[in-house]
Amino acid sequence: MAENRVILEIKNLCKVYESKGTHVKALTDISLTVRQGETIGIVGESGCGKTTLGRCVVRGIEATSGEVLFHTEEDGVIDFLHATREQMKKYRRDIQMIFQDPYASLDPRMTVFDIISEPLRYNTTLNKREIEQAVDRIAEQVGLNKAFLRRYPHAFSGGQRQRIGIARSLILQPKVIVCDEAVSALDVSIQAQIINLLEDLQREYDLTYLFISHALSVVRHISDRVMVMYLGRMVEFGGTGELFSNPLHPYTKVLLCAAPQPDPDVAVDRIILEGEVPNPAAPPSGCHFHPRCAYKTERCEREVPPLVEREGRLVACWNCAACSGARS
Amino acid sequence: MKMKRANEILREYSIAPENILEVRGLKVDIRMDDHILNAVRGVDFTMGKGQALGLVGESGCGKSVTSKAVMGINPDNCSASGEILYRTKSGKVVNLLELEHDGAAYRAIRGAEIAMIFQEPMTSFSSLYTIGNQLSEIILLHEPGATKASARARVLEMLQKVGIANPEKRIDQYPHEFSGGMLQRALIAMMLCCDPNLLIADEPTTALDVTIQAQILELMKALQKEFGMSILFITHDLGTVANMCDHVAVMYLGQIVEYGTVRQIFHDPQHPYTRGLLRSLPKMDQDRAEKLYVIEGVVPLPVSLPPSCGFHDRCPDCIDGVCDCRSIETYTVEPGHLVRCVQMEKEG
Repeated sequence: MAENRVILEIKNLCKVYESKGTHVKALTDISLTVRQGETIGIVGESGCGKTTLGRCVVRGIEATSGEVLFHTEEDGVIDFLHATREQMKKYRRDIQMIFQDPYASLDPRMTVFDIISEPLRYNTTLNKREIEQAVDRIAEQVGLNKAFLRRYPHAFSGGQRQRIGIARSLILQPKVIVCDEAVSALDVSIQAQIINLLEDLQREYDLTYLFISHALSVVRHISDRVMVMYLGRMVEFGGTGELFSNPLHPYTKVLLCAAPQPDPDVAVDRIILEGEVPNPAAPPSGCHFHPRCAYKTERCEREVPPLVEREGRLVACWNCAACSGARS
Repeated sequence: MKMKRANEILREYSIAPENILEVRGLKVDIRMDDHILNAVRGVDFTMGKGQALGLVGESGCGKSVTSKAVMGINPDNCSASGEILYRTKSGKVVNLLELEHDGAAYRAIRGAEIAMIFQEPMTSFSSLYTIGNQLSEIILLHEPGATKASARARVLEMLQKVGIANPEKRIDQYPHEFSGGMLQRALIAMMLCCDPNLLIADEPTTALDVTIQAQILELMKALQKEFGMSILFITHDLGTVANMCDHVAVMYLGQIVEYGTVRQIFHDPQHPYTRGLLRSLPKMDQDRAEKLYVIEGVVPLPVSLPPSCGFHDRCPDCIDGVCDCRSIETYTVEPGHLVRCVQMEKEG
């Protein structure tokens, strides 16, 4: 992985939502370097900012501050957040998104052919025949029957719709795809089909994925590196294998053992967290996680722990040395 | 629906003494505009006292329709046949399918004896009434001697039991002031108010975050022990089932394809569908390069299905001329382990 070139750099990304005078810090100082062809898993509970992060990267919403640097082959490094109209027009197509709900993300009044070909009609000068060929090719690749392209989305099952969404995201041959809970709404047997499809496409086109999900087993399967978020901050970031086998941050530990395993005899040493995710409009002082943390000290309440490198990983915790010694 | 006369309802039924619910040959058809969906196609299962049964399967397999048939809350375009035999608190066995959905007999059972919690706690409450108001309603409805004051006292006690901090303040709040996890706790408190025999939990933790899910599952386990109720757990999440249930029924296309104890199902699955489901889950210890196992194809629409095995067109072990032609019986491979697959015939 190390020899692959950097394709995307997120630097000090912040997003503040304002509503009726309250400020919600959805993202605080997120920095991340992504290499071509890798999959970064982004996990956390609702309200942790993982979707906001994905949308800021595709510029679906405007970040408050920070940079999203996209490394292009022709024009060098472009800051997506401050790019000119021409630059955006040229490079927006390189970063695409796959959405969670295949029932809500497709226009019910467009045929599947129109849905998949729409990006081509706006971004390229291909003629009708070339568009048809391109759609046919991509439909075959994602496993859609060409005979059904003139139908409307309601005629398709959830898994088929997700394939339509994937085809639409791929048709402009992007380099980076933000998958926002792309398989969460699907049934188990269909979920496996879509995960395999995403992996096949990645190998074929050297795609880079930002894979946002709350399903840890899926993230574990698909990601090279994983970022754990809590209330808008990165709390741990590292290689998938190490992070899952030896979580350093107490929150990562809790997340890993919270999901029930499909085996009645796995004796889970489950740490049950007290309380809930706090209100992001009035987050706790110091380390956001301290009110729910078993290892908290006085310092955690006062000071925000910086992200430091430890065992080849980034972790934001004052006591991770102590708690990694105490791990089960 | 025609009114039935009271003496017709009083037919005598009996079920095994250790059971509180026996479902026999349950079929539910849903009338659509131009076709009929055979949502449930002959389901049999029993539930022991104090036991948890997991009903698992993918969307469209009929698990929710089955549970709603027990609760008597399927919409009017559904018609059910078969028997749902339930032992009431007074010890009498009734066939729930013979009761009027909105008749007094069913209403005395629904809520008080059989309670249900749903997937989305946020939409299960009315936003116009306080939590306390909605929880005490059920007590006032079902208990003849209850007063507003006694109901409120009971609600406070139940809110405390489900781990809601500061119940004196929370009882007068509205649902929008609660988080999702807290609302699910409140919903559980509501169903506990009348001390039900049987709890139907339809995807109770699917909409919740993992750390909150863990809290709610622990809570349900503790309460089940304390109150001794039976739980029918409807879910697609095999992890939840493995942790919560004593027995598991795997449903596919309106039929139970495999039934057994959790250990039989998770350690020794026999039906190709159960095996496929378990194999297609990403494992925590699986190699990253390994491809996920895939059950090819999709669940067919349950419209005018032939009597053949519903899974035959997706099954890796399908025997042409058998699985796609004739109806498949259920075989007992081990005491308490039932499998609906012809492969079992060869072996047994």
